[in-house]
This record gives sequence, C-alpha cells and structure tokens, in this order.
Amino acid sequence: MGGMTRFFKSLFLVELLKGMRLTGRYLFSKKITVQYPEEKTPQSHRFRGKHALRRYANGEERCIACKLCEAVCPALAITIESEQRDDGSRRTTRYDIDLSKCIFCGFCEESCPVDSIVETREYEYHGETREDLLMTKEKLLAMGDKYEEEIAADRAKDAIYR
Amino acid sequence: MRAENYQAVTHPESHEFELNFGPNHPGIEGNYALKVRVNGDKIVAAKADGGYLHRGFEKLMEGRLWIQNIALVPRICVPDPVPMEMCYALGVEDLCQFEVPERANWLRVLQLELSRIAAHLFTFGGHAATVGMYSNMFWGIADRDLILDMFEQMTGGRVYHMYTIPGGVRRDVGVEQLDKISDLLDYLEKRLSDYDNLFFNNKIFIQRARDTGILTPKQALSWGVTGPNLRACGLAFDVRRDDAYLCYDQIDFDIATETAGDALARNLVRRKELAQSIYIVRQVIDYLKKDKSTHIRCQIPNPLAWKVPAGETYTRVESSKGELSFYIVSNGGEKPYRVHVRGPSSMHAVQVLEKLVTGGRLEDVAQIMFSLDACPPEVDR
Repeated sequence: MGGMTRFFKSLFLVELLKGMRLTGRYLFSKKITVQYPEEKTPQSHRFRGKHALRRYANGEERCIACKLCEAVCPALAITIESEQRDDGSRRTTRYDIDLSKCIFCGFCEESCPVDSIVETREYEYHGETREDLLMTKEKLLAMGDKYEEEIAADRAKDAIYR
Repeated sequence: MRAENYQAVTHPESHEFELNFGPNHPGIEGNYALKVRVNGDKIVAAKADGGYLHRGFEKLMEGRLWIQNIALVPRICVPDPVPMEMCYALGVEDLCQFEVPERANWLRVLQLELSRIAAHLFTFGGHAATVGMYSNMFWGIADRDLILDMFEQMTGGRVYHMYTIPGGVRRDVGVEQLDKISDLLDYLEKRLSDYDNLFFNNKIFIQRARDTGILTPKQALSWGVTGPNLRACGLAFDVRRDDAYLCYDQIDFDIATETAGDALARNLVRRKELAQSIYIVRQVIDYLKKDKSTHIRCQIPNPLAWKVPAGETYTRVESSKGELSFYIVSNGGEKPYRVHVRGPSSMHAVQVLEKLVTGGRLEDVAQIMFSLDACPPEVDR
C-alpha cells in the first residue's frame, strides 16, 4: 500500500502541486514589490545620508573649525582649513567631504560640539565626475539651507534617545 | 591559487577534467572559488581558492584609533555584521575594565538576535536557490529587508549599523520602535509556516539535501567546526550558553540540534534557531519595555585620545555562522597593537568544504557550500 501511495504521489507530482498551491496563493495576494522611483519605503529619522552644514537662525554658519570631525573620521574623508576672521572668530575657509570616501558612520555628527555638520536623509545623488562627489563648503551649506527644517525636527525627535 | 598548488591534469585519456567553480557562482555570498577535478559529474579532488576578498582588515585596524575601528569591523562579514562590532567592543571593554549598563546589554542582544534572523533568512533562501527553488530565495531576501528596515530605524544604517561602541550603544530605542519590532516578529512567525510548507517539508528539497555532505561529530570536532554546522552533528555547543556574554544567562532559550550532520540537518538547525531567536527577541522586548532607565553608555574617555591599557584579550561570541572571536593586543597606545579575527567561515569554507565535496557530485557543490553558510569576506578578511 505504501508503495502504491508513493507511486501515485510521484506520478501526479503531488509535492510539486503542494508547493505551487502555496506560491499560487501569493501570486494573487497583495504584492510587496515597491515601484521604486514612483513609490518609496518609509524612511527613518535616524537615517544617515548626505551631509549638510547648518547655520544659526541669524544666518551665521555654526562651524567653528575645531576639526574634531576631521580627526575622528575613520575614512579620512574630511579636509578643513581655517583662519581668523576680521571680527576675531575662527571660521573655516575650506570644508570638503569626499563622498567617494565617506562611509556614513555618523561619527562626525556625534563629535560636533555645535551641531554644525549633520547627516541628512538625502540618499539619492550621483556624480559624473570626481568633483561632483566632493562636497565643498558651499554645497554643504546649500544642503543645510535646503533641509534645515527636516534636520531640526529629526534632531529634536532623537534628542531623548541619545 | 599559488603556483606550487597547481596540478595540471596529466591523463586526459582518463576523462578527468579540471573545472574552476567560481569565483562568482550561486553557491556563496561573495567571491570564492573552488578548483575541482571531475570525472563525469563525480568530483575526484577539490582545492579551495580564496583571497578574492582580502582587504587586510587586521592590518588596517592597527592604523586606526580604537573608536574608528567600529566603522571597520562590521565589514568583515556583510550578511551578519552585528557580532563583529559586538565582539570587538567586548574585547576593548575587557581591556578597559568598563562596567556596561544593563540596558545597553539588552539592546545589544536585540541587535544580535535580529541580525541572526536576517542572516539565517538569507542563508536558507540562498540554499533554496542552489537547488532551484527561487521563490524561496526571493521570500527570504524580502523578509530580510524588513529586518533591515528595523535596523535603519534603530541605528540609522541598514547594513552597517556601527551602533555598538565599547562602553555601550549609540542610541536608545523607544517603546513605539519596540512595538514595530514586535509586529514584525508576529509577521515572521506567520511566514515561518509558509517557509515550512514551501521549503523545509518539501520532498524535492529533502531528497536533494539528505545524505549530502555528511559531517560526523568526530570530523566536526577535529576540523574546528562551530555554530549551526556543529549542532547539526548532534553536539549542543553554543557560546551563548557555554560561555555566556552580555545577558544571555538571564534569557531562556533552547539550543537547536539535529543528529544527521548532512545538508538537510544544517538547514533544519537554522530553521529551529530562527524560532529560538524570535523567542529571545520577544523576551528582550519585554525587558526593555519594563526597564525605565535611560543609561545606555558608561563614561568613555575622549575617543580621540583614548589610550587603552596594555594587555591582551580573547573574546568570543556566537555569530550566525559559528564561534567568532577577536584576539586584541594593546600596548597602551591610541591604536590597537594587533588584532586577530577568527572567522568561523575560515574553517568551514576551506578545510571542511574541500573534504565534503570530494566524492560527491558536481550539482551538489553549490548546495554544500551554502549549507555550510560560508562567508568569503570572513575567510579572507
């Protein structure tokens, strides 16, 4: 009897049909595929993406050229040059982040004493030359101006968990 | 392969051919080759040929600050990065005599177990692909992505979290986040029965995997096999229980074992571990919800001038592949003097794999590789 059952089971491909019944059920259920450029998966406020330099409300840039981010960067992606301004404060003359080196660990953000360098949620970017992937100070400040509201909201949301 | 290891086929009339299996092939999640000599489809001899992913992690770590290495270590094993950070952090804490807050330890267990679930989903999904069951692979990777979403919400990074630092963790996890993980676990538990029907109880898979690549307990012990591969031989060894780290001694879980030691048994062990990991994560979530402390880091020195006291330490954790250990030597400086990584896959993918595939058939090579869960970046480091 056992032999007969096994014979018919193999003849009618019972195991195969069992598996196909399961996959068939999923064929008609709701799809989990996300049609990427049109729809996107929800993004966390902790996401570490492209960098930005922030400004104070009066338009003054926050960075004081302490170079802690440059020192802690594991990928050595940050280059800073600074000088004293006429009003006596120390500011950067050059602040470059090489995005082709950066590994998005967020240590620069953690080390910053004035919350100047931050990582935004921006992840869709590309560069056609190496220069495109070099974030200069102007580009970083422009990123900060563009996303300031989102950055401030994300930091406020995360403050109690730090 | 080095020149002295190369053996040209000397008897073409014997119908033996040499085949380069790899470096890119369905059997492994990276670049790793196997040179096999085949007679028909029977494998006469096999020689592992690694080194394609050698990036010199151990040397690189000597040139970086103690804190900077946190960003480097998870890259040693891509599908299961959390145990790497964890093991390194445990070693540094041991050298510095840190008292890590209790909440940080439970948060770390949460990360470790979620990472284990993700890695196992990836592995048996990949194994299914090697026997031609592609829908299972897509399911496994789709479900793993949901765990990566959780990682993104907790740590900010999807694959490389850099969340565990020596002394604690970088961010706390809120209650609403824990609820989301709880919902995900409910979903995964429902999916597990689907995986059973599609894959683990599937006769087509069972007939392919049973009696393929058999490891006896004696062989497993003498070849340094650890993790699910060892437990599939019937030996219940698990670092989480036998050398408990973090708070695993306060957590209730079973060690999944099988006795057959073949590719099927190794997969069934992973299937059981998935259920165990879900059970562990539920306990962790219960604890974290009840615990009201917000203390997640002990006081660490200025990371830029952090001199770890001289000494040496050996720490081990249970990764999804097996026993992962770090041997860290400090000479009291700002950078490690020497770090050695014992990746479990370096035993599985070189000496064990060569012996298991020899005498088998060519179509089983990819299957045996995936059933051993070898991770090439861990072999080459």
